Order: sequence, then structure tokens, then C-alpha cells
Amino acid sequence: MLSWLRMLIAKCLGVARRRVDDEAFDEEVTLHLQLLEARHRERGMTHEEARREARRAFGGVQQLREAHRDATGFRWLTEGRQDVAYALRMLRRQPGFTAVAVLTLALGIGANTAVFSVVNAVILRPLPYPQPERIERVGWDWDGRSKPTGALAPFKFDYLRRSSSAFEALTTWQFLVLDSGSHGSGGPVNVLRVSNDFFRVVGSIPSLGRAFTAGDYSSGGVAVCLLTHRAWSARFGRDPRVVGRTLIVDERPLLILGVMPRTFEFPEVTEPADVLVPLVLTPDPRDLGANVPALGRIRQGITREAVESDLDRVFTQLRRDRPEQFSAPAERAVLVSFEDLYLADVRRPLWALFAGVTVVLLIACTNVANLLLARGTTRVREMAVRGALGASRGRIVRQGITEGLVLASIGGLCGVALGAAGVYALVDLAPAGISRLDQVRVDAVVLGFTVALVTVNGVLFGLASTQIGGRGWRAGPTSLTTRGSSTSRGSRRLRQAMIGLEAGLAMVLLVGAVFLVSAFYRLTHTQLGFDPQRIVAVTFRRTPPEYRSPDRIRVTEQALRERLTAVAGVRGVATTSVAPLGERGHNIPITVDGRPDATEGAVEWRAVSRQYASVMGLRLMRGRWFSEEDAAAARPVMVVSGSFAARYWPDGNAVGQRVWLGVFRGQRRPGGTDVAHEIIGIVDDIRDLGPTRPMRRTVFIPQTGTAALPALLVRTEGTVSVETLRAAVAEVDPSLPEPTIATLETRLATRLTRERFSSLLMTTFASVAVLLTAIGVYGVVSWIVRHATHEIGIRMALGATRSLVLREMLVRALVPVCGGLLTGGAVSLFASGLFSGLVVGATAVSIQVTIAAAAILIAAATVAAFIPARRALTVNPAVALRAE
Amino acid sequence: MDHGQPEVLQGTLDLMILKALDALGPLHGFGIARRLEQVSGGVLHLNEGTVYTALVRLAQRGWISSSWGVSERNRRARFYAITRAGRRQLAREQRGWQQIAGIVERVLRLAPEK
Repeated sequence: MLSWLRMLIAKCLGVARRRVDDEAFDEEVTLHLQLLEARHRERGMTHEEARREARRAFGGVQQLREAHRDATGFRWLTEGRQDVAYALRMLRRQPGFTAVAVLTLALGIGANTAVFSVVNAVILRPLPYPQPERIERVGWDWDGRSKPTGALAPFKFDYLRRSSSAFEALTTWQFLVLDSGSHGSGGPVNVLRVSNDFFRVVGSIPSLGRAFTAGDYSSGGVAVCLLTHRAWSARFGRDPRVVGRTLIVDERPLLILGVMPRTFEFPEVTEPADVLVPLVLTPDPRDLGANVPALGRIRQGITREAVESDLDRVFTQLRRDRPEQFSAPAERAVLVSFEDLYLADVRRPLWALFAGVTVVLLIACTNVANLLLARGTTRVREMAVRGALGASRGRIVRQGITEGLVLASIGGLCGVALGAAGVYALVDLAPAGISRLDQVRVDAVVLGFTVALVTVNGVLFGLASTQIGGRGWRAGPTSLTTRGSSTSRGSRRLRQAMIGLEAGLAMVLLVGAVFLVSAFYRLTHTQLGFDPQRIVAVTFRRTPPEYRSPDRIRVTEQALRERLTAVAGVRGVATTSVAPLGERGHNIPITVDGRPDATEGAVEWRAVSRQYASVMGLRLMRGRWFSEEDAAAARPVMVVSGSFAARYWPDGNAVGQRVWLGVFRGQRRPGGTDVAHEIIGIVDDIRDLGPTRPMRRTVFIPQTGTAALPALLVRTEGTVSVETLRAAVAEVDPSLPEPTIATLETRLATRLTRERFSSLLMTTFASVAVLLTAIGVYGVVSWIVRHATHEIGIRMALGATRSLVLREMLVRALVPVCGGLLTGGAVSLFASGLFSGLVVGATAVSIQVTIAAAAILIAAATVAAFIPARRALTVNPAVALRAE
Repeated sequence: MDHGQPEVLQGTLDLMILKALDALGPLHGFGIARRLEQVSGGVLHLNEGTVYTALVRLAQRGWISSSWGVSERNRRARFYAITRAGRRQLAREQRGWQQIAGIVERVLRLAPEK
């Protein structure tokens, strides 16, 4: 053992000192030859004779030098180089085989690389903070049952910040998109407003200039900001003299204090920030509405449990002091991890896609192994020759593995190129709002993963090809004369098993794809309660400061409505505070007049114009819709959705009842009304947040003076171009911000991006899987037919009909396929949980889905088997028998 | 990699080199070759170059060590000396050889059975 180790060290040293060693060796040899020569001369030989005799006695210097090199270095290093060259030569000699194998591998490895790089960036990579394990989000558990939210009331946040002993610092933030430059000339900027301990929590400070100080948070001071590296590069060309200049954001000049380092990231917001500005909290105990997120840095050495008990202590105290701040006994602050908040919805779909793509790779590998097996049978002779010439078994296996590695490496290289391109496609296709998706790239970790894949593949391929070739080596020279048919049966079984495996794997993917596509189809055909066809939504991303008064809004709204109604092809125009099928709604608390217990914290709330019902195509169930007078007289009236009415008036007499808006458990929230609204009508339920979100109880009130630009809904009859609408808006008031114009169908499609992404990807994987399986079946059947020519000839000579022979050939391929299919089908029924998170509403795989998937797979396999099987019919018995 | 027949020769050569270094003290390659020629009485014909292959092998196993010195003709030469591990190995091999030689001798001395 020890001497073995010593040898290894000596050899490694030998490799390292190759030149010095060679020189010393040459010196020794030269001396030896000279001494020999001198000795012969002393015995009376001539100069020439002595030299010849010395060389003869010494032996071949060149051979000796090589032997010496072998002894001082590694033989396999040299042999490895030879093997690689040989493998490349073999691949070049069979371009068809090489192209199919490399392409198959590149597809499998490329898809894996792409999906893994997404998994790596979004899920696996640690958070970008120093000591990230000390960073925790504080969330709120509202009732001890449902998922905690990642935000709490500003008053509670402020109380926690001042009373907690477990956190070194706690911060909160707000993310908004505002216009920059005067009159929005600088385009939108992503603004991150951060409270004062932000920099201590994230552990990052500006690389240029300074961070915010207490003075920057006091009102009345100069408005200031920090640039992120991204904005500094894009807007200021990384000018180091940027500190002290101003940037106009939302029509306000902000003094630039500094620039954040390039490494600064804040994944809590899904879009990269451009500008950081101070966020001043005004904790109003009455403000239970807009909750704020909280991120804290835990003190060194404090456990999670200790932090949680500290949270409990703090809020038990608050509950004692201000019981009105709490509505449920189980309400409490909890730690919520970044993962739970941002990755809960993403993690499962991503792992499922990764599993899917891994299955594709497995099928690809099986196919390549199958190809190698086919080639292995033809190489039995070659192996036999090599064995006969003295190659050891280990040597042949090593060469096989080298060949496998070379093949896998070429496939891997192409795969990485494909994967790098695929990553961009994936990120483009992926739904918005996935944290850190912008950081997806093929990096060292991803490459390491790919190298691991290639290595495992290469070794397996090598073993697969030498598995067969090895028989030739064992059989020795005898197999040079036999026709190799003795190996047929065993390898036929092996190859049939492999297409069975492929079919099983493909079946699992196919069931998943059919399942997701059918769920997606159901989603796109959900009844929304309104008719999204032929409605165009005109929305404004922001309201410029000069418009933020109810009067200005009212005038602008009316002018816009009138102008757009006049556009040719427009049948009606309505306005609403929340455009349908957007990212979020707007909810408020309510209390039924005279029934303090009939109260809830969040019903959807829409302030709409009189035309809303007709433009949207709402169905009135009871009572009436708003009239012209309701708005003119500013009557406190409301229309409610069917489910709202049913919840509080199950006996159906909701019309005429009164409801307080903005009041919850006897407390009026900011923005709550002074009078209760009277219900004048009930409309059918609508799902204006899209089919993926649960049905919400909704109330409508007449559009009154709000301080924000409403959205316009335009119902068209003919075709109305976006440009026409845009021009009409600009005509009303050129200083209005550029509106976003999209049909409701487009907006609906946007709401389904995630579902479409999952089903599209799964369908792609499944199609590739089916295609590869079909190729595998095709390959195996043509191989079987080729090797059974003799047998077919005999049977046909003995009177077998053509259809019988054809059936026989098909059965040989389809029996293993059906076996795999049954297994795969059973697996996917049990593994349905894997797919269920991918599309809303897809819960359990049904038998119908499984049958549909099986039908597709059998059809593909039959076609793939039929084409080569037909060739069996062309066998001429006489020729086949003579071919012996 | 290793095939039956050369193994014996190789082992024999290694043994002879170790024995030479043990008996005569440090020698250079040429000196070892001369010693082998002398003890075999000119019967053993081998390419003298193979001595160097054997020397590398023995050095790698730690049985001999080498150092640069000056030869009888004032030339720089590499001198090889047996190490402690080399002596132990030599003793082991000597025992092995004597055993085999004894067995072979006994076998050859047996009278044919009637």
C-alpha cells in the first residue's frame, strides 16, 4: 500500500519534472556509452568498431528512452491521448451515427442546462446579503390557519422596530414606478423607497458618496436619492462626478447623494431598482389598511426560536396596551422566509419542469445507448481482433469509456451552446414577477452541473458499447469466424427493454402535458361574468401631480369619454377605477348598516361610470344599475355582486339595504365614507382579476371624484386601431401621460402567462420525448428486421403469410412499448402531485387524460415500428436462405 | 500490462542489482553493468540499457537512492546506493529464491517411478 503510494508520488513528480529528468537520463546514457566505447578501445578495437560494439551491447537508446518515460510518467496519459484520437476517428468515419447521437445528446443536455440555470439562479443561489442566514422577513399570521402574509400594519411595524430586542435593525420599503425628467421625458424609473435602517439590514453601503442619514428622513430637508449601479451606468455613463447632481423623479428634483455598488441587489422586489429614496413612516394607529413589508437583521448568535418568542413577547405587550389593533385571537407576527414568500409558487413548477427535462435527457441517453449497442454488435469482430492481439479487458473498457466521454463531450459542448441560447428563450417566455429571474445565466455552477452530466453519460455510454464488444474479447478469435448471431438474442432483449423504458418515461411526460393542456384549456374557457371580446382597455400607469385633484380628474375623464365615444367604430366607453384583468384589484373593508357583526376586511371595490355595465356586458339580477342622476347628485348608492348579496342576505332581499364602506369592526379606515351606501341593484358575479384567481365578492359605486386617472374601457364594433385611440387621447390633453392600450383578450393572456409557460414547456418536453421514443422504436425494429432476415426467409418459405410476418415484427416492438406505457401510466397517476401546481385548477390526473396520452404514444410507436417492419415483407426467401 | 515471461527476468535483474549495490556500495549504471557481467561470467546477455529501466523501478519503490558524484574519469555520474528498505527487500527475495531453488532441485533429483 505504502509502496503503491510512493510509486504514485514518484510518477507525479516524474510528470512534473519531465524535462530535467530527460536531460539527466540522456547524460547517464551518454556516459555509459562512452565508458563502454573506451573499454572496447582499450582491448584494441578501432574507433568505429568500439562505437558500434558499445551501441550493440547497450541496446536501442530510443526504445529505452520511451520505456523510461513510461516508468516515470503515466502510461494511461499517453494511451488516453491515443484513445481520444481513435474515438474521434471512429466518429468521423460514421457521420450519420455521430450526427444523430450528438444532436440527441445536445437536445437533452441543452434543455437540462437551460432549465437548471433557471433553477440555480431562482431557487438554489443564496440571498445576496452578507451573513444571509441572519436576514429574516417578519410577516403576519392573521388567523392561525391561512398562509401568513409578508407584511404588517405600519403601526405594528413601527412598534416592533422600537421594542424588539432580537433584531439588530428592521427596515421596510415600497416599490413604485415613476416618471423621470421633466414631464416624464426621462422615461420610467424603478424607485425603491427605503426606511432608515435599510443599509444596516442589507449590509451594503454606497460605493460612491454616502448613504441616507437621519437628516435625510426628516421632512423639510432637501429631497435626496441614491442611484443603483444599473441606473448609474444607463443614465450617467458611470460618471464619478454624479454625486451632487440632481435627478427629476415625479416632477421633483432629487439630489444624488451617491451610487450603490454593483453587487447590491434587493430580491425582495422582483424588478431591479434604479433609484433609492428615503421612506418616512408615519405610523398612524388608525391605518390598518396598507400593510408594509418588514425585513430584519437578527442579532449575532440569536436562534430563530428566540426571535419568534421575542416577537410573541412584543405583540403580547401591544395586545395588552392596544387591544383594538387586533381582530382575531390567533393573530400574531411570524418569521417568513424569502423562500416561503417568493418561491412557494415558483419552486414546485420549476422543480417539476426540471424533472420533466431530466426525463427528456434520460430518454435521449437511452436512445444514444441504444445506438451504441447497435454499433457494439458490429464491433464484436474489432474487439475480438484487439483481444487476440493482446489488449487486456481493462484496456478495452477504458477505450470504450474514452469513446463514450468523447461523444458525450461533443454532445455536451453543443448542448451548452443550445442551453445558453435556450436560457434567453426561457427567461423571455417566463411569466413576470419571478424574483431573480433577471440573473439567470450559464455560470460556473451551471457548467459544473453540465460537466457532471456529460461525465456520467460518457461513462455509461462507454460501458454500454463495451458490454457488447466485451463479448468479442472474451470469445476471442473464435468470434472472428461466427456470424455474431449468438449475441443477437441477448442484445435484442436489452434493446427491447430500452424502448420499454423510453416509452415509460415518455408516458409520464405525456400524461403531464395532456393534463396541463386540458387544465389550461379549461382556464381559458372559464366564465368571467363579462365578455372580454371587443373591449379595449386604455390605462394610465401614473397620474401626474398636476392632475391629482378630483375636479381636474372629473373634467379630464368626461373629455376623454366623449372624445373616445366619437371615434368611428366605438360603441361605448366606460371608466373604472380598476381595469379588468390587471395585476391587482382594489379592496376595502365593509360593514352592513345596523349589523356590526356583518363585517369583512376586504371586498373588491370598483368606482365605475354609468356605462360600465353595458360596455362590460354585466347581467343585472335584481334592482337597477346606476342612472345619470346617481352620479350627478352624488347619491350614496351601490350595486353589489351576487355572491356579496348572498353572503349577507341569503333570503334575497339585499336591494334597499345599506352598507358602510371603509368600516371594519366599528373602526373607520382612512378613506371611509361618512354615509352608508344603499344597495340599488345586484349583478352577476364577475372574475375581473382573471380565471386563475378565486371569485371575489365585489361592490360597485358610481365614479366620483377620485384623485387618480381612471381606466377607460372602449367597446368596439368594427376594427379600431391602437393608433387611433392613442391619437384621440393625446388630442384631449397632450400633457396626459402615454396610456397603455390593450384589448381585454390580451390582458387575459397576460394573466395566464405562468400557466401558458408551464403547459407550453411541458408540451415541448413531451413532444421531444415522444419523438425520441419513436426514433428509438424505429431503430430497434429496423435492427430486428435486419437480423431476422434469415428467420423471415425460412418462415416465408414454410408458408407464413406476409401479414403474419408483419404482425410478428410489430409485436416485437410494441410489446415492450406497451409494458413501458402501463408502468409509466401507473407512475404518472401516482405522481400527479408533481404537475398539479403548474396550472391553476389542475388537481388530479384523470383516467381520460391517461388514455389520451397512451393513445398518442401508441400511435407514434406504431408508425415508427411499421415503417421498418414493412421492409421484412420485401425479403425474398430464396435470397435470404442463400445469404448464409 | 505485465505478461508472464518478462516478469521473471525483471525480478531477477532487480535482485541482482540490489545484491550488487549491497555488496559493493554505491555504483553508477556502468559499474552495475560491469558487476553483472562479471558475476554471470559472461553467460547473461542483456542489453545494458535495461539496467537503467530497472534502476528507475527500484528508485520508485524506494529500494535504492541516487546522488550525483564524480566517476573514475572525472565525469559527472549518478551513483546509486541501496536503502534500508532495499536491504529488507533483498533479504525477502533471497529467501524466496532459495526456497524455489531448493524445491526445483528436489524435484529434479527425484528418480523416475517404476
